Order: sequence, then structure tokens, then C-alpha cells
Amino acid sequence: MRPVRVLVVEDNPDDEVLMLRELRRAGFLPETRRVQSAESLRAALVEQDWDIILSDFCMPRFTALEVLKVLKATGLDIPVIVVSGSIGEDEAVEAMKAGARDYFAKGRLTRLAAAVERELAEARARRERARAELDRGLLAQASEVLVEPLDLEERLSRLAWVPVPRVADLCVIFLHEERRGGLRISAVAHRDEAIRSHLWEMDRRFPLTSAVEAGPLRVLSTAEPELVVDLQAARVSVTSSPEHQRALDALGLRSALSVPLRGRSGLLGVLSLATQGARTLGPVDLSLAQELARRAGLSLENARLLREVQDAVRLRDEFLVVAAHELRTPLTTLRLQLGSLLSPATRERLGAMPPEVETRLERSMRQVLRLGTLVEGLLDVSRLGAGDVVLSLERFELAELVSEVVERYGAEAAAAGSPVRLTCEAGLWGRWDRLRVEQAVAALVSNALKFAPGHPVEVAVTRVGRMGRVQVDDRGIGITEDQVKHIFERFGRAVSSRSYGGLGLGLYLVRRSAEAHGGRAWAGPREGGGARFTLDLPLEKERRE
Amino acid sequence: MSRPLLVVDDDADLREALEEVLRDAGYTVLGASNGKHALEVLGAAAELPGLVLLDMMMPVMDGGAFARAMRQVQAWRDIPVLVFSASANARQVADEIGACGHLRKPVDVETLLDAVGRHLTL
Repeated sequence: MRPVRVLVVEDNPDDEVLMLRELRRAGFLPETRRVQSAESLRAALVEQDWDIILSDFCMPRFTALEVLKVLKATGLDIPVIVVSGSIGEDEAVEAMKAGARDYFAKGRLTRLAAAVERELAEARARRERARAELDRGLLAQASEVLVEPLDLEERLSRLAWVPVPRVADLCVIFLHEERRGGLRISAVAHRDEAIRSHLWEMDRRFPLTSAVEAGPLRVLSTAEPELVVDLQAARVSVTSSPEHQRALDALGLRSALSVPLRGRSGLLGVLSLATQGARTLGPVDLSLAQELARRAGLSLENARLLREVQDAVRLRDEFLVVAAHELRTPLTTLRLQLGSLLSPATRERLGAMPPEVETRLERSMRQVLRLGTLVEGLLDVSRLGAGDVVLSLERFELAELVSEVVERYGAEAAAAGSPVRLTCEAGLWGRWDRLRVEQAVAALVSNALKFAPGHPVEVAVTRVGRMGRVQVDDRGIGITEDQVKHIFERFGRAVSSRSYGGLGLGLYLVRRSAEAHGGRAWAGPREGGGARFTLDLPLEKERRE
Repeated sequence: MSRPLLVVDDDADLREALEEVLRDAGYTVLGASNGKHALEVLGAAAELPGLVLLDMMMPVMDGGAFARAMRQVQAWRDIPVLVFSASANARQVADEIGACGHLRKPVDVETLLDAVGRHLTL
């Protein structure tokens, strides 16, 4: 015996009996209600779900056409079969046009059951199609929400609104709180603002922490989804606090389901849906909730990974700060020792040292200075990477600083077989951080020597509008469009070879310090081969003579 | 003959290197390995130093605590302090403890001698 919920629109109870007898004979177990006015029909449609409507064509105060109109207004998809004593061709056509699915004369009801059977199957297929469509839409929406560049709370909040109100009246996302144990509400969606704040209030007052027989907390401990179709009948408690349970009961929830939010390393929380009134939740809703939860879990997982990465970076930076601090002490000792050995005063005191010793001391000194640069570079990368570039500004002339740097690289340029030609426009004053600009220019020069040994390097200082420009041209391996994008990235190297020393930080520092000054740094091919690196720094506004 | 210099640093090698360089340049140098030790050296000094070269991070008593303690003593209050630190914020620290200046580690001989020459009270 198959249960079927039949709404009969009929003024004559005897006719109802006849129809139902036919259905029973075919193996149906009808649950019915008889109505005979627009009001009672509307009430019946609101109060419960119906599988099929059997309607007389013409009643004292009502007609099948009006039945169809009322039904259409509700938006419900319930098949209507018209069963009428006096049936004319015209009325039949009219009823079918208005949306009736079939038409029977009361004297010929033998095929009614078959028609009901057919209509139920079709309605089910239509519902499944519509539901699949709805689910696809909701999941697409969920995916969109979860990739938007919002913070996690905002994302979860929007996710909670995806199934509300189309699938459920209420959606709550709970997150597992490791510190307190149990669950905390992270997002609530319900069309009634009062209910939303009521739920937040409950979350504040009644922590979901101890073992219960059902609900979100149970799902958290079992990691199994849970569906309670009829809460009123089941009478389960979802909280250990009677007061909390009473407050929840007051919401008058009809159905509820909870599914676990899974992360890579365990449960992150629970997503719950609930309905109020006549609508119930079923297996289809459960699988939708599971899909939503799967997406939310991924999003949470990503947020957690991001946090971990950020923590790791912070730790690394702290480590670098400490490491640099520790490295500076022995570097200071070395520099002072070597410096004093090489100082004229020492030579006077100790007499001339063998040239070989002096050469080795000088070489050692160069390496100590280089170590110093590397240490500062390391630290700069972590500091600049964190985005806090603190500039200590002083006023100086660009050309003077650039000549100084070029001079410092004289020995290296000679060793590389790359004469450095410098052309300067004088009088370009600005307020810059001397150390950082020095570092940037040095990185550009040393980069040119490194990648274009044996070729001349040209350095030019010019004014371009309100900018002072330092341009470094080499005739080395050049640089492709694709490399231009990455060359200023941290550790980005346009060459794949490991034959070049240094950490690949130089250019990154150039870009960051240019930007910190409100300037720019970029690279491109030089006309006639090689590469051109450009550093622009804003000049001071008023011309001071 | 100028007044002596007090070098306060917990790194013995660095302290010795500093002392050598400064002695070579004609200064008299006293050394101390932490703030507490430096206060003892000050207390025992026949002639008060004309400058304290002060590291900030030291065990037992750090540079900040030493500077505060030194300022408590009338006779030592006006001895100039030159902060000599490996931290990036040496300048802020110098401002905080009312130092006459700061040197960032690592430093080369010329910079060191130049700074000492400028700040040493004769």
C-alpha cells in the first residue's frame, strides 16, 4: 500500500468516496482532505504538502478554473486532475489550457488510478529536476562566495545565506573552539533579525560544550551527518542546559540537519540547517548541506594554512632579526681588527708589512664588508617584505651619491673587465634615505657587473620631470619581456643558472626602496642588446639653490 | 692626556678589538663586560671616563639599566654615553636613554675614531 496525499476539491462527499475507492483498488493508501472554497483550499495548501489535487469542474461557489488559479498563485507544483459529472469538450479543453493535467468523467473512473500514478511520477521527476537545478545554483553561489577576497567571518556569513530561504529558514555555521572545547556560532542566516540576534545571544550565554544526544555538538563528536525530519515528534535535546533547550524550543523548528565541516586534520565545525512551519528537510537537503560544508571546509582550511604561513613568516623574520643582531658582533670585531692592521698608524708602529700579507688582509677586509652587506640584505628583505619600510630622510644630491657608489665598485669593475662610464646631471636634490638609495644603486651596478662581465656598463643620472633618474645599461645577456615581470621579485632571477653569487635580493630591495620613496624601479631591454635598469626617485618640490 | 674611555660590551673579543683600536689612537681605555661591572669600574676609577661606549644587550645588567643607574649618581651624571648597538633601532634607543649619539655595529675604524673624537669630554 503506497501512501498518497490527496486534496479533494468537491462539494459532494459521495463523489469523494468513489474516487478514493478507485485509488485504494490500485494499491494506494490515500490521506485526504475535502475542501470546496478558495479559502479552505488556500488553507489546506499552506498547512501541509499534497501529492495530487482531484477537483470537480463545477461547484456551487467554486470551479476547477479557480482552483487552478489559486494553486498557481501559491507557486506550488501539484498536479490537478479534473473529475466532473457533466463534462463537455469545451470545458475539458479550457481546464487543460488553464493547467489541469488530465480530465475524467465521474462515470468512467477506472483509469483514474493510472493517471494519478503517472502524474505522481512526472511531478517527482519535475521536482527532482528543479531541485537539482536549485542545488547547482546554490553551490555555484557558494563557490563564488568562498573565493571572494573577504575575511573568513564575512565569507562564512555569506555562505550561511546561500541556502536561506530557498532550502531552509535557518542556517548556522558553528566553528570548533579548541580553547573552550565545543562549538561557537560563527555565522547565522535567518530572515528575521530578531531570531538572528536571539541565536547570537544564546551562543554567548550557553556554550555548546558537553555531550548531548543530538544536534550540532553530537555531529562534532561523531563526525556523522544527522537529519531530524520532525523535531516535534523526536523531542531530542541538543544542549545540556534546560534553559537553552527551552529557548531553542521556542523557535518552533520543524526539521533540522547538521553536517560536519571537515579540514585536513580533523573537524573544524558544523553546518546546520533548520526549517520552521510546514516545510521539512529531507535527504536531498542533507546532501546539499554536505556539499556546502565541503566547500566551507576547504575555505576554512585555506584560511588556516594562510594563518600558518603568516605565522611562519613572522617567526622567520624574528629569527632573521636575531640572527642579524648576533652576526653583527663578530663582523664588528673583524672589521676593527683588519681595519687597525691596515691603518697607517699601525704601519708606522710595526713597520712595513710584506706586500703579500697586505694583499691578503685587504682581501679579507673586502669579504668582511661583503658579509656585512649580506647580513643587512637579509634583514632588509624580511623588513621590507613585511611592508614596513621606515625611511630616515636627509637631503642630498643624487649625482654625488651615485658617483660615490660607482667609485666603490671600481676594483670590482676592473676585475670583471667592465669599465663603468658615468654621466651625471648635477643639482638633483631630494630628501631620501641615503642608506637605502645607496643600497639600490649599488645593487644595480653590481647586477650589471655580474651579468655582463667583459662589457662596458653605463650609468647615467638625469632629471625626468619631477623625478631624478638613475639608469644602468649593460651589454650582457639581456632580458626578455617575460623576465621583466619577475626580475624584481624576491629571489627572482631571470637566469636559471646558479653560477651567479649573491642571494638575488638586490633587485627586490631596489624595487621596494624605490616604492617606499614614492618612486619606481623597472627593467627592460637596452637598445642594441643587453639590459637597462631604471630607478626613479622623486626630487624635492621647491628648487633650493 | 685626555680622560679615559669606558667600553661596556659583553663580547670579550669585540671589547678587546675596540680597546686595541682606541689605544692605538692614543686613548686610555677601561673595559667592562656588563652594566653592573661597568658601575663597579666607574666606582673604582682613579679618573672618571670622558665617554662611555655602551652596548645595549648584555646579561646581568643591560645598557638601559646601566644608563639609568649612572644618571642617579651626581658625579657620573654628565658623562656622555655613546650607544654602540647591533640593533636596527640604535637611534631610538640612544634618544630614549639620553645618549649623545649612536654607532651601528658593524663599524669601521674611521667611523669609530671620528665619533669618539667628537664626543669625548676632555
